[in-house]
Amino acid sequence: MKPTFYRSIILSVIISVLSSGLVYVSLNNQNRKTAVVDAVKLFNQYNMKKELEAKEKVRLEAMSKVLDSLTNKIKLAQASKDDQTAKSLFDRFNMLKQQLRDEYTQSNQLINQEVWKRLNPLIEEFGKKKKLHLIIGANGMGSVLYNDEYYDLTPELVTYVNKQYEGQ
Amino acid sequence: MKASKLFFVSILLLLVTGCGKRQLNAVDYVHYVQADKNHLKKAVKMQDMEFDIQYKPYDYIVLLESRNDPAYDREKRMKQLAGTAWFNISFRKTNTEISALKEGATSLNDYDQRLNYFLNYASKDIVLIYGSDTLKPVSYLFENNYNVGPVETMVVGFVFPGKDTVPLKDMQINYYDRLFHNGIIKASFSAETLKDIPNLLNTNNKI
Repeated sequence: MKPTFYRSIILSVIISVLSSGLVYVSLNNQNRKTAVVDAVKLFNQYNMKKELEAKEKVRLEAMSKVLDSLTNKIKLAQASKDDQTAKSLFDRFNMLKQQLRDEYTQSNQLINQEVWKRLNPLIEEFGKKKKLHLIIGANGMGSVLYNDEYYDLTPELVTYVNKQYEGQ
Repeated sequence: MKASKLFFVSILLLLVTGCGKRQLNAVDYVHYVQADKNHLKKAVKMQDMEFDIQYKPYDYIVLLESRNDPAYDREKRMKQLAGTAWFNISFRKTNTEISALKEGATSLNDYDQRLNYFLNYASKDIVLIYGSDTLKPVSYLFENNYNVGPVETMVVGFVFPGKDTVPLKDMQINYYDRLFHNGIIKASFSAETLKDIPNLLNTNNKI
């Protein structure tokens, strides 16, 4: 057989290997996609956020009851014209009210911090598992003006993060 | 006739051995309990911390405890353990090789406060959900490693309600991490997983 025959066989093998490689890479790239996730929905539907809020609610409500009881005492002091006691109670009431506000703000900040600390690595893990190039956080503030359901992976991600959270 | 008998006996044997629990020697048993794929050890990863929750079956506890004790009374210990569930909750910072108690502590007082939390208060932040019951720990121990390694461990034990001598229902351990602010750490162990734990082949075996 002529050497040109072998050369053409080798060439056609190389071409077919290269082209199948290109097809594989392009198909792989097509599978990788962009997703949109509603960050607010994800945050609010994360079970840990709901549970932490429920825990904090008990604590803050107990503080709030102390305020209610002080209000009643102030009313009684005012009714009996005991101005000095009423003033002292009122000062205490204001101080506690401010304390409750601060606690509420701090508690919200802490929950926010704790939840994102847990969500961020899970979002990354989810993105890698789904072979996503990019996850865009939609939060109703104008960063994503429109997306159809195809790109919206919020429900899937909510299910994923909650399953991981429940330790299954 | 002979062939059909042989076939019947083989099927019977296959069924008996297939339905029975797996049996493992001591070393394999320990490996089984510690392997992630068997779902008796769960990992919860955060940005800079990692928690490992290890469920410890009775045979596993006994094997580890009897390692260097020739006079170890296995039967007595098994009786003590009946009706309880034991877990190790280990944690470490992933970005450093020093203990999480020490990492980021700004003073000795800061370190002492952290240690004090784990010695005296952390048990209040742990519960076990067993079926529909929420159980509080009956035993808690913080294994202080005195900064010789990055991993710190809480050992926690619960008593089952009713007459359950072994875990028969789904279990979920919850730890509310108030110190490092990682929220609630959960690890679930299904009744099926617990039922599938192999038996120890020879109870006199040691590791």
